[in-house]
Amino acid sequence: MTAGLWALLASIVLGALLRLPLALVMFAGGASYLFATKQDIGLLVGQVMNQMTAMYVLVAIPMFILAANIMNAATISDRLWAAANVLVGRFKGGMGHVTVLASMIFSGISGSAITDAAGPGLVATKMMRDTGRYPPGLACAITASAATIAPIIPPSIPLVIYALLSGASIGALFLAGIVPGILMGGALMIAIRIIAGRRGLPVGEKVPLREAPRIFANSALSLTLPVVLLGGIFSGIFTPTESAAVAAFWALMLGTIVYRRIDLPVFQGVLLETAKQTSTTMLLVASAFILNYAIANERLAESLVAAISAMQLSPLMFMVVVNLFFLVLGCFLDASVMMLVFVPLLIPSARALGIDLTYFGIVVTLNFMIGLITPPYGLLLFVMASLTRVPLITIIREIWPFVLTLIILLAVLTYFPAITLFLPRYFGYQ
Amino acid sequence: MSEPSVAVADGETKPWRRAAGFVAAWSLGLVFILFIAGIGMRYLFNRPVSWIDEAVTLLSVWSTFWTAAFVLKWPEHIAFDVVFTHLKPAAQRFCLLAGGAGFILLMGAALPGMTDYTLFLWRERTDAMQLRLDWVYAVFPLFFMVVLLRLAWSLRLLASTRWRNELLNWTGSASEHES
Repeated sequence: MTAGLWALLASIVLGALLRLPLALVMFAGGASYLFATKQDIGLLVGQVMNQMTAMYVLVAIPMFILAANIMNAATISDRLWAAANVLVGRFKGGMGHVTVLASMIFSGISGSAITDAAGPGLVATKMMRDTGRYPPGLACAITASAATIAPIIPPSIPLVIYALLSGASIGALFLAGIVPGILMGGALMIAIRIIAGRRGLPVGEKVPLREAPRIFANSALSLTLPVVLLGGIFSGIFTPTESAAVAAFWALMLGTIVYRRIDLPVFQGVLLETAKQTSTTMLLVASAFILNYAIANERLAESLVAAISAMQLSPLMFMVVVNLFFLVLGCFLDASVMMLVFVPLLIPSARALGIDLTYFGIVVTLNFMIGLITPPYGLLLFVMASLTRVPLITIIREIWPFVLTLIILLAVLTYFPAITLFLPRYFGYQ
Repeated sequence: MSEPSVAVADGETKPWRRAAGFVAAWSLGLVFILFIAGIGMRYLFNRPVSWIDEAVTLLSVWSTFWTAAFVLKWPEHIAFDVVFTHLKPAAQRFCLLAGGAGFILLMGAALPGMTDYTLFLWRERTDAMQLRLDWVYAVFPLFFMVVLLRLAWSLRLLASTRWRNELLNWTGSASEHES
């Protein structure tokens, strides 16, 4: 390793351990690298700002966050819950199934697992705990694992960032996420059914069929949002970025005119919350640009390609190694860091092995989502503990069956790329 | 790692923070309005406005750095605090003092070069709106100036007898104490 890389690595590890914000630590790593390699420190400005100001697609991130936050403020979560309850509430472990289904529907609006957990997830946890038959830790574990579906079913903020890094088509990635996202929901429901049988979880509320039309009508307009958003993208009427803004506009119209839950002060609060969430995400993306410059300058990705071709790994073996690598790393690192630092390193190797980058994107993103619920560091576990005041350790005790379920699904998706690629290919993406 | 936004209670108590929050919120609101206006002009009136794509991109970038500099509190940033949270307060104080001082020294040394680079761009312009590039890029060194000042102020408090109070601003336990 060169002196520049040592300086970069030392700054990042030390800064992170001392609890400086990660984005600042990554900027500092970039500055250390430039100083150590005696390059113009102005490159820090050039590399970051040239890329940030040239990437129109990045604007999709605040718009997706805005659409989801508006819908949360418009109490859509309660309406989705009621609609999902009619469909799957009557089964054993019904409320768990409803949680997963409501999360899947909300995933068609939200591209962030955190937003999903804070919106419908919070409603779901409260409903389950109110019955008195769901242990609080289990309720939170079900909610946290259901929230991981949000970035797989389109729209998805991690997939937008992956598209930027890899050059893969956002349209293809969004289409490719649909089947794996639905399978995640199905797999989690099977796990809930097994747990419900073993632990005697209650059968959910049986909603009389004559009530169903009224409940569906009540939630019908909120269900138009995924149709507007995804229909706009896949029909080619709008770009993904435009679709995000149109969806936010549609959500605002529903929230103000139809549901009458959003007035100017509420909207300003939603904008502020969106600005904060956008800033934390985009600041990390910005800091990754200088890091990626160092990686490119040191030709690290090329060295990795050479090392992997020397090992003569098959594409499948490469994917297995990538999965193991990210599953272990996911126990300790944030998904955004793994995406921004490690994925650019691996993409050239994946490309050299002839691995479809759309498939690669879905597999690594699913890895990161599993990382969000894997102890000791699982962001969604922290969010649920913080929102519900349930001790973290009780959530961790209950999360393992769901982690295992998603790992099994990850193995299936890795082994059968066609499951992921069937839909984008059907729509003409190669 | 700490969770941004969701886990931290809001406490926009200070006037400057409220004003900064207002700007952050409505700069994003402006991105939204411009976006919708652009889409409307393109699809409803068949008169695309060429500068809107550039305007929303630049505004988003400015909003990102503005919000990070003036609005986000320390616990709202994503940070690796798996080790930090298990330390005793005195050790946490030491970590922040050491990390903060190192960051100020490093980025303080980088700032003149970054400013020079930015100022040197005065001759270049953006493609659509023909804005001077030094003005557009200025938000980046400005962001660092504000972060360094906030960090220096925080370190000053951490070095004083009031350090326990200031430590709360980093651990997210007290949103009202923000420096």
